[in-house]
Amino acid sequence: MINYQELTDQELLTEISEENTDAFAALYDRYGRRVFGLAARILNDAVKSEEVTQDVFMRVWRRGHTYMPDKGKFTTWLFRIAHNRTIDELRKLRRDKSRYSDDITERYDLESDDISPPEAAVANSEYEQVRLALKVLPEPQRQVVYLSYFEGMTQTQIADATGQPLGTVKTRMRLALKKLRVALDKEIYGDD
Amino acid sequence: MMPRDDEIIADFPAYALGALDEDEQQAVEELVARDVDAADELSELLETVADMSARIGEVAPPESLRQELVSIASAETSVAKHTTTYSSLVEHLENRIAIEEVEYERDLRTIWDRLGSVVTAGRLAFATSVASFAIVGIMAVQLGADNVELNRKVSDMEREVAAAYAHSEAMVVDMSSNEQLLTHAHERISKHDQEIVKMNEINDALRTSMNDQISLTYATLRNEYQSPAWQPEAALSGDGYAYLLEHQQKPIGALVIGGVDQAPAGEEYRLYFIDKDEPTYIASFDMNEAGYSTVLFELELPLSLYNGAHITRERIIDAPDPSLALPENRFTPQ
Repeated sequence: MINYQELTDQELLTEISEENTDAFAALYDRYGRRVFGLAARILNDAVKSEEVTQDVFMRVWRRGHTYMPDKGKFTTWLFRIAHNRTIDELRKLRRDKSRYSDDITERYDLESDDISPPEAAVANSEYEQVRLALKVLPEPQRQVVYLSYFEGMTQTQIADATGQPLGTVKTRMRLALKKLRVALDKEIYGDD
Repeated sequence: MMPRDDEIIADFPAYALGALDEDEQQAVEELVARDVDAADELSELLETVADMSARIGEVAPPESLRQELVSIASAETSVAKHTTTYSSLVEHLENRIAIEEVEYERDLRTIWDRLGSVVTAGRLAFATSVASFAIVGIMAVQLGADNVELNRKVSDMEREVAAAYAHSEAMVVDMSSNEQLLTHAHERISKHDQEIVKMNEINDALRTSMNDQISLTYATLRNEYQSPAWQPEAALSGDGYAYLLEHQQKPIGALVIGGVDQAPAGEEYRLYFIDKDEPTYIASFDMNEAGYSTVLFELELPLSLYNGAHITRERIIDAPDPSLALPENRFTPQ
């Protein structure tokens, strides 16, 4: 009898491509909480986060065979789908209701203690890693990352909202991601 | 104007952060599809963002989500199994087409060998046949490709049908519950209707019985009693009956009355005879539960000396009030 918990992501995907629902359930058990956590942190809406999580995993079930290992890790592929789907939902919600302050300076307050119920269950030690990683960025870089990643704004919208030239926004994004890479690696490997 | 590659590469960080519009995204994807180095550069950025996403933190989704996902996947698997037969058939046909092509080419070579010395006209004719076959072969290959595409579309459609079917099954379950409720409600209404019919039958029987009793009493009394030339005024409800009788030898009168409700608590009915517009109290009575009563009373004067009668409903504790029997004071039972 197969112990699905011991299979690698790629092995689970192979089983899923053969329509093995046990493998599918095992993959969900492995990443469902993280995908839901990502959606909950960004959307701040438990129902919508559940919808996003369902869509992401149904996409894995139906389109898992389109993942190409030589193009990157499975988690990169999975969380790319999850973040894109979450941002789509966020933009839809924003169209439905004005849930955001017009003052963008209020939007990336990473020190805020205003944690809503879904977020309260987040394993905060991990989020703390992300927050620390973001805090190593200079404020202008942190701002563009926050507004794009957490708020779903396009680079053009960020340029308009902040009054910065589009080229500056692009440069800040590039620098920010480079520094984030280093900071996240430090969190993982404990480098100083 | 198409952006230059270096302009597109400058958008890679925004692509990784999900901060491009659709046209810009498409430009990035087209570039990495043809440029391996660019693809590697983008891959690193995507991995950075994915690492951040993966470490945003865990939140437990609702317990039901796992079961729901597995149910949908199972339903789609079930449909896929049905389509396997069709896929096998398509595959078999494709194989058959390929085998036929090989065999035909082999036969064709044999024929050419045999017909090596045939005249040019014959070759031309045969060449025409070969061309025809080639066209048929191309069509067969195209047909095979079409079949594969068709098969894919059918699979997609059948997945959708499966999802719709699962949904409709849930609806059927709901409808079944509603139908059971509806059936139960119908049964209750039907039972209620039957009870109403039965009650109406009882009422009819009671009414018939009462009328029969009145008629029987009247007929019995008529052996010894006679009717006066007048009868009480119709101060009764629509279904009420009242007859006055007078004993043929004794100063006794009788009132046979029916179809009148019992008087409310503390009240009673009173009979007055009218002599030249002067009401005289005669007797008090009440109705039984069936709304029927026979009242016997002494007559001081023969009924023929009165010219009318009236029935009032008065409080028991009050003394009879003849004025209530005067035309202007008479009540009309509802």
